[in-house]
Amino acid sequence: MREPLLEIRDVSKVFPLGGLPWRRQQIEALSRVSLTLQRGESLGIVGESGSGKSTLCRIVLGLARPTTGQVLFNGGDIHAMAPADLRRQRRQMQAIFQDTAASFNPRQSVRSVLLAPLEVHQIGTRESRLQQVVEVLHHVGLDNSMLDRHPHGLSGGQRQRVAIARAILLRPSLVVADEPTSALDVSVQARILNLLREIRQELQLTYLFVSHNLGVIRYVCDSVAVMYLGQVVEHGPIAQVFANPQHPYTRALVNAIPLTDPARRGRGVPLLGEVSSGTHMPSGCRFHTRCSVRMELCSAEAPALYALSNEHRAACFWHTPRFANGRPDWIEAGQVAHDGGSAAGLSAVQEK
Amino acid sequence: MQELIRPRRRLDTPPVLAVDNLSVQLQTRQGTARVVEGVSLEVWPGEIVGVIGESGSGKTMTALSILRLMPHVARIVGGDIRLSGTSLPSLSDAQMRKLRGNRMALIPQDPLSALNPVQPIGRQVGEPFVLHRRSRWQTAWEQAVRLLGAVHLPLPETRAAEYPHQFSGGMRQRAMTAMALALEPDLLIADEPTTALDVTIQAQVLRLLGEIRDEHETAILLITHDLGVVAESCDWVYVMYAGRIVEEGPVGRLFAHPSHPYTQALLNATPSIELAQAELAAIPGRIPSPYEIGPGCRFADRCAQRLARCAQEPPLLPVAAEHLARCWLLEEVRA
Amino acid sequence: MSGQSAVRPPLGWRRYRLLWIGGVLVALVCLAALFAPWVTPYSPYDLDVTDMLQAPSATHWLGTDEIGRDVLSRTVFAARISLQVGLVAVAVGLFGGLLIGVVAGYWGGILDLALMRAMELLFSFPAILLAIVLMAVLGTSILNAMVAIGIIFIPGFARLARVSTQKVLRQSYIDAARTIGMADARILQREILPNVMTPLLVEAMTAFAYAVILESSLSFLGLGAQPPEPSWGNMLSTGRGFMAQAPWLAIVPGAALFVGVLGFNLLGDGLRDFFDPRMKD
Repeated sequence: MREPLLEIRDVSKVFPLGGLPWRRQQIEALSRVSLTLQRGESLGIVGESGSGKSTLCRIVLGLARPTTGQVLFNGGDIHAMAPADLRRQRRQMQAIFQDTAASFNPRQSVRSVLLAPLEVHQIGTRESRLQQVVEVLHHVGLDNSMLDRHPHGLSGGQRQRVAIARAILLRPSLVVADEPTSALDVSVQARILNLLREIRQELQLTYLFVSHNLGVIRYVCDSVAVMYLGQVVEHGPIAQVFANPQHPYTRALVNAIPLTDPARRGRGVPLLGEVSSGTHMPSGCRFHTRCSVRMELCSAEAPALYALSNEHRAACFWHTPRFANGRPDWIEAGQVAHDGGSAAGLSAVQEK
Repeated sequence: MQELIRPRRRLDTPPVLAVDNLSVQLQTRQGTARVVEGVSLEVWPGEIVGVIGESGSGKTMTALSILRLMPHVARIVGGDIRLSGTSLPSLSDAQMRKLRGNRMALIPQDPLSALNPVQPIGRQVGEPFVLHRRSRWQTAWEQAVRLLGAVHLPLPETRAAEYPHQFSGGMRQRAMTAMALALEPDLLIADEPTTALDVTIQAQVLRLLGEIRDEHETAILLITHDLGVVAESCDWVYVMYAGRIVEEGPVGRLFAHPSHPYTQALLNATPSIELAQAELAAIPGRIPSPYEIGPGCRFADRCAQRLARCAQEPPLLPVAAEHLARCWLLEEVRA
Repeated sequence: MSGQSAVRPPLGWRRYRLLWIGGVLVALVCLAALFAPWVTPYSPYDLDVTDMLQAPSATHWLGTDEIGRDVLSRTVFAARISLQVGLVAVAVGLFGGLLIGVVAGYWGGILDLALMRAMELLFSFPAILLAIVLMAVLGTSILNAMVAIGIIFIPGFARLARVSTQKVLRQSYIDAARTIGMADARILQREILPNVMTPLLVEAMTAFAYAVILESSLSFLGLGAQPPEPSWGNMLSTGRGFMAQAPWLAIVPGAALFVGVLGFNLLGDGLRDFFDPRMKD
C-alpha cells in the first residue's frame, strides 16, 4: 500500500478556559480524531458549530499544537520537527482561509502578497518570480491589472481567486481549505468551486476541505468525515454517506438540508435540541442527547467507529451484532473493529 | 403533499402587505444608486412569501423600507406601501413607531446584536406590552414566559430570567421570534433569520415559522439568499436581481418551471447534496452597479440567451397563471 | 503606496476638518520654530534695563519682560525648545513602547506578564512626580527632561502596541503568512509592524501635545529649560510673579502653549479619523 500523504493519528485538543485554579474549566475541542488522506484524495469535513473542524485544520497546518496525537505529513510528524524543517515542509501544504478580507494584510498589494511565498523560499530570481506570479494569476482567471490593486478593493470572488493563487504558487501537494466559499454569493461560489476542481485535476492536489455546506463538499470531495462535538461520527465515500447515512446525526444533518425542490418538503423530523456546549460534554455517546434512536447504553458508553464496508464506518452502537433486534431499518450491520475499545475513536479501525 | 404549499387566497381577504411600484435610492458621494426600482409585492394572511436574491439585489433594502428602518442616505422616491390598507410612506415617524412591534415586527439576521446584553430575555420579550399596551412589567413578564413557551423554548420560566449570552444562537433566534410575535402582528418580516444558524437549527426555526403562519394566520415576508430555504418554507416567491423583481410565482410552479434566465442560472449554480454534478453552471460577469444602470434588461450582460431586444428592459410577462417573469424570451416563444 | 491613495477619498474639508485645523496650527508652530531668527524683531537674550516691563506697543508688539527682553521674540524661540522636547520624548516613548508592546503581544505568556506588570508599575506613578524623580536621578538639564518625559510615555505606547499586535495576530493573514513558511522575524516586520504603527502614530500626536505641557510644567518648576533659554514653561513661571503689573508676561506664552497643544491634539484626532476604515464608507 502507498504511504498516505497525510495521517492524523489520534489527535485531541483541549483548550483551558478561565476559572479558579481549583475548578478550572476546559473544553475538549477534538477527541481522538484519526483520519488518513491518500495522495490525490479529496476529503471533506462537515460539522456544525462546535464540531472542531476548524481546530482540526489549524492543527494539520501546524498553526496549533495538538494536546495529544500526531500529524504525519509525508511520513514526518510536523509537530515534532524543528521550526526550520517545518517551514520547509510548509511548501508542500498550503491553505485557503474562510474570511476572504481578513486573510490579506490591508497594507499589501496583490503583487507583494503573491511574491511573498516565492521570496520566503528563495525560489527563482527577482524577474522570474514576477513571471511566475503572473502565470499563476492567469491560471486562476485574473489578469496583470490585479497586481497593483489591494485585496480589500476586490470583489469577494476575485479576492478568493488571489487566495487560491497564493495557495498554489509553491506547487503544494496538500491544500487545506477552511470554508473557502461560505462568504460568497451562490453564482460566485459556483465559479470558485469549478476553479478548485480544475486546479485539483491539473496540479494533482490533495484536498482537506472543510465546510458546513454539504452540497459544496459533495461537489468537490470524494469522501467525507462527519464531525460532532470534536469526534468523527461517520467517514466514507461521499455518495454512500449522503445517500445512505449510517449515523443518526449524519442522517438528521442530511435531512435538514433544504432541497431546491418544494415537492419534497419536510423530509425529516428536525433534530431536537441544540449542540451541547463544550464545557458540559454529554457522557457516553456525545450525540445521545439529541438522538432519536438512542438506547440506555448510549448515555453510559461511547461507541467506537464500526466498519460497515471497506471504506465506510460509523460510530453507533446499532451497528453491533448485539443490537440486531430492533435495529432501525436504515442502519446496516457492521463489524466490531479489531481492538474494539469503547471510546476509541477512529484508531479502532486503523489499517495496520 | 398538497397540504404543504398553500394556495393564495386572493378572493376572500385583502393582502396584509401591498408594496406597489416601490423605488428606493441612495444618495452618496458617488451619486445616486437605484437600489430598488418598481418593486410590487403582496403578502396575504397565513402565507409565507419569500424574497430571494444575492448581494446587491435590493431585497434587504425593500424589507427595511417597509419598516422605515433603512439607512439615512436611502429615500423612497416612488410608489406606495400599504399595511392592511394604511399607506405607510405618508405616516409620521411617531405613527410608524406605533406600528412597528405592534402590527408589523422584524426578526433580524443577527439576534445577538439585536438583544440588549444587560437585560434578562424575559424583560425584552415582554417590552412590547409595556411600550404599546401600557401593561405593568409584572404582566409583561408573564406574557413573555408564555411566548417563550409558544416558540418551544424549554423551561421558559427559568430561561426568561437569563441573559442573551447564556443563550445559544438558535435560542436567541427563538427569543427574537417570541418578541416579534408578542402583540400578534399582522405582518412578520424575517430578514435572513437562519443565515447565522447551523442547518439542524435552521430546520427548527423554519418549522417554527410554518407553525406561526398556520396557528395565527400571520403574514410572513421572508428575505433570504438561499434557494433551499425558499423551497422548504415559502408559499410564494419573488426573485430579485439588481433592484428589480425578475420573476414571481407560487413556489411549486416557479421551482418546477424557472422561467427567467437568472432564476435558472441560480438553480444550476447551487451545488446539490444528492447528485454528482459534472460541472456547476457558473454565471459569468458581475451584477451591475446600482450607480450605472442602463435602460436594458439588467441581466442581459450575463445572460446566455440574450436577444437584440434586451437592450430595452422587458416588463413582467406572464408565464402561466400567477407566474410572471421579466424576460423577452416569453414573447419569443409565443410568437 | 500609490495603490492606497486610489482607495482613500480626497482630503475634503468637510470630512477632515480636524485634520486641517490641527495641521495648520502645527505648521504655524513648526514654521515659527524653524525660522525664529528671521521672523523675530529682537534677540531673545538681549536685555535692555531701560525698557523693563513695557506694555505691548509699536516697538515691542507683545511688550518686554522684567529685564527688558522682547516677549514676542522669546515666545517664538521657545517653540524650538517645545518642539525638540516633543520630538525626543515621543521618539523615546514610541520606540521603547513599540518594542516592549510588540514583544509582549507577539510572544505572550510569562514574558507578556512580566513586561506588562512592569509597565503598570511605571504607569501607576503620577506623571509629573515620576518626571521629578527621574530628573533627580539623571540631573537637571533640558536633554534629561526630554528623556524623562519619553520614559513616562513608554507604558502608554506599550499597552497600545500590545493590544494592536494581539488584534493583528487574530487576523487570518497571519495564519496565511505562517502557512507559506514565513519566519517570526519576517512576520513581525512585514505583517505586524506596519499595521501596529497606525494607531501608535495617532497616539504620538496626543503624546506630543502632552510632552509640550509636561516640559512647560518641568520648566515652571525650574527643572526643564534653564535660563536664559526661553521656554513657555519658564516664561509662565516668571510671568506669574508680575500678573498684576504686566499680565502679558504670562498670557503670551500661555496662549502659545494653548495653540501648540490644541494643534497637536486636533491633528491626532484628525489622523485617527483619517486612518479609521469606518470613516471611509
